[in-house]
Amino acid sequence: MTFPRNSNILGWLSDRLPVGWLREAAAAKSVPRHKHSFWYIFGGLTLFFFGVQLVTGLLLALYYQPSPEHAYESVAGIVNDVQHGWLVRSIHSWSANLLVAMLFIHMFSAFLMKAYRKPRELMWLSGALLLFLMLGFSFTGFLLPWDTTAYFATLIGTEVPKTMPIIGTWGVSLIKGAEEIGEATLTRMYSLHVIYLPLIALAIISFHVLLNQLSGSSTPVGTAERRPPIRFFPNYFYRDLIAWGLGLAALLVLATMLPWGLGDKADPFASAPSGIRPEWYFWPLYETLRMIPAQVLWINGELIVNLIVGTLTIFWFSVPFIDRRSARGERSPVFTAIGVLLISYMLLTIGLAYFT
Amino acid sequence: MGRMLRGLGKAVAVVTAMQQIASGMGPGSPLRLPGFWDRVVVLVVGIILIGGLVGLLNALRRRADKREQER
Repeated sequence: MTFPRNSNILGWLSDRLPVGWLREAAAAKSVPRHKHSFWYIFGGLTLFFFGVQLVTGLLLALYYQPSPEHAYESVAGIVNDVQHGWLVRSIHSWSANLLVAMLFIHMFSAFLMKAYRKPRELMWLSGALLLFLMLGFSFTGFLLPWDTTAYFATLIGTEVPKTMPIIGTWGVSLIKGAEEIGEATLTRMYSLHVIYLPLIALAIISFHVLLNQLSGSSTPVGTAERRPPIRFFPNYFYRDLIAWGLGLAALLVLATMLPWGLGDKADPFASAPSGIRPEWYFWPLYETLRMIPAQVLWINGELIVNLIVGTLTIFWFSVPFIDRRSARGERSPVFTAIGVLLISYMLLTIGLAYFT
Repeated sequence: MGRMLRGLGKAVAVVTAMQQIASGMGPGSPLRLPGFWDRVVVLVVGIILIGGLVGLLNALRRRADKREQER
């Protein structure tokens, strides 16, 4: 094999692929430096934990068996019999939690910095879509171990959206595949978790990252840039990689010191045990459902919660188009207050669910 | 120092045991996890590897920043 231009791999590749163009595109991007620059690191961390999910998920898929008869035993087998299987499973579960945590920090920091304003509306929309996709990953992955918590949390979780007008019953039957949670549900959850959602997520993440490459990171309104921006490649890229290394270290501490557990095998004929709860990021929804009475006047309580969630979702996607002040480059304290209120409500309800 | 480290090790072991019981990994659990100290070995080896990698990346970052300043 010969390398016509340079005697290295890059030279060989640049004769066959547009490596130079890629390097130029990477070098063209710069990251602003100001007092809020720290928050930029969380987008990269979210991407890193998604990568961890893909790698560990591919490894787990080699051994996992998606059927009610074998799912539980296959998960126990991964932990007990597969070399370092306990570590891979624990990393997958903890990384899912860290991914959602990083995603929320990234999303709320983007919201408070008004990073959604022109010309980054599409970046915001794709990011908001990714939030729902990641929650979908969590929901579909939760049932896979087929233990008591997974079974009954999914049972409750698929009952709530039924009251949603028009799409509620249809959407639930599409996910469940049958009246009761069983083989059809597990097959659908598994295929959604390992085929449909990853394919859609990869496409949207690529679009999101491409937009970030083209438009760069946004500087908050009224924030002065004290120093010249930092080149993304290679200067900021190294900072990203260092943050990923620290993220990996934190993940390893959690995965080894607090390895992920497995409850008793699900028994569909048993009654739901008390204290069944979804993952922590669904706790705001869970607490709201607990706080609202079953019937408010003549309206079903769950329907009210579904309407609140629907309205919030529409609002979240519309933010770049309704925050006119930010679009004009002015401060918009109303949207800052909304962001702070939402974060406070989330923290309060998560705290309430944890301590009660 | 040695006494403090042993005390810390015991405290972590107690917290881990409590967490394992709470998450269904206590007595009667279907899971056979490696022992506490075996997991500590995995953690220490992992942290050393990651630490080395982060150190290397930090050196590369400094070199890149220096080049940028010289430009």
